Amino acid sequence: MGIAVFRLLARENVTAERTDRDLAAAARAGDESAFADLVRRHQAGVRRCAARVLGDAEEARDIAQLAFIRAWENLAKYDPTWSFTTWLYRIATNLAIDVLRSRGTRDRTHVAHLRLVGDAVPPSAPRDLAEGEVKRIFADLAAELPPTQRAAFVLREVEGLDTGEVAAILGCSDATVRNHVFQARAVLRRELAARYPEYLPRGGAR
Amino acid sequence: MTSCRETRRVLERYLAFELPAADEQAVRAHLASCPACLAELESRDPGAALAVAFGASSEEGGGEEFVQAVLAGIHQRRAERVVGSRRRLWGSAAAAALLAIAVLPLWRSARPWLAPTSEAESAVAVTSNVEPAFVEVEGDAVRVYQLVSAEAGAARVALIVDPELEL
Repeated sequence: MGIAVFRLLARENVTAERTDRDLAAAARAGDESAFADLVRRHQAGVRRCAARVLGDAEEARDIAQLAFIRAWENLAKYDPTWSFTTWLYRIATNLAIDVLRSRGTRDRTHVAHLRLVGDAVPPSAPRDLAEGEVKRIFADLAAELPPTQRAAFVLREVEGLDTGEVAAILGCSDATVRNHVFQARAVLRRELAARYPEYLPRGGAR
Repeated sequence: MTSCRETRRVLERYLAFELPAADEQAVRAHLASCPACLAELESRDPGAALAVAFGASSEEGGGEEFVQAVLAGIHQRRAERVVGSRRRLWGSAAAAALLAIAVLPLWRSARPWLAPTSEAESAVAVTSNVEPAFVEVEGDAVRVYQLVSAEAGAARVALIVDPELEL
């Protein structure tokens, strides 16, 4: 966990003067400008993560905003022995999972639509795809994953957080995270072969 | 900086979560920037490769507008809570008033033992040679007690209004 926390803090450009914990302590005492600094520091990461879990940038913006508001309202419950980032991602991820669970059939309709659109895309391997195509295909295939599995996969495989950190965010064990990721990879492999065989490398995956 | 050779050597361990966190990050960074090694990952696990490609894609940032939107949301929630608590307060007061209106007549009728003040009672008692009798007369707004005492065969009557009632 220690390395992960260091990496996250480094990635989010924490200044030497005021750490997340300093700002969180000030915010807890009612300092809104300190909390605004936390929002400035983490908004990109939280929005990106929410967008990747949800596959919808607009919805992700709302969820990220709500996550920060919830964080402000629950600062008294924040335990400074934890990474603030982990705590914040936990709030945001839980909100995103709730949204995924509430989507239900809407997502399946969306996937069916994307599948039709996908038929018109010329064949190419994923490594050669344009950024927009990668996002579209990922959103299409990830819709097949159950909400928690999808969140675990995005946090671990897309965002690049380490297993312990993902486990802390999702409130489960490391083994559960690994299991989610293994299963998600298998689903993506299967769905990619079924829906986008042209994107698979010649000879197929093992 | 991890080389292509080193990356491919540890690719199976990367997929099996067997690399230390720092090495894993180095491999990921290399995969995100090296199409040849990403292709190698694709041949082993297309899902994992898609995730790396997706992770390397950019996402729109929020900017100061987002920060201000969060602060506005906080202020709005705070204002809603204040209004909500005031509503709850007024709601509680209204409920209490309605309860009082509904229950007061029952409460009154359930108090046949309601007694006059001890001062008035003793004033009658001084001139009484018998224990006073209490008679309750119900009115619309007041409750009146009739104290009857007998003194040398003559009846004396005192009307005492319940001092708890507002006239």
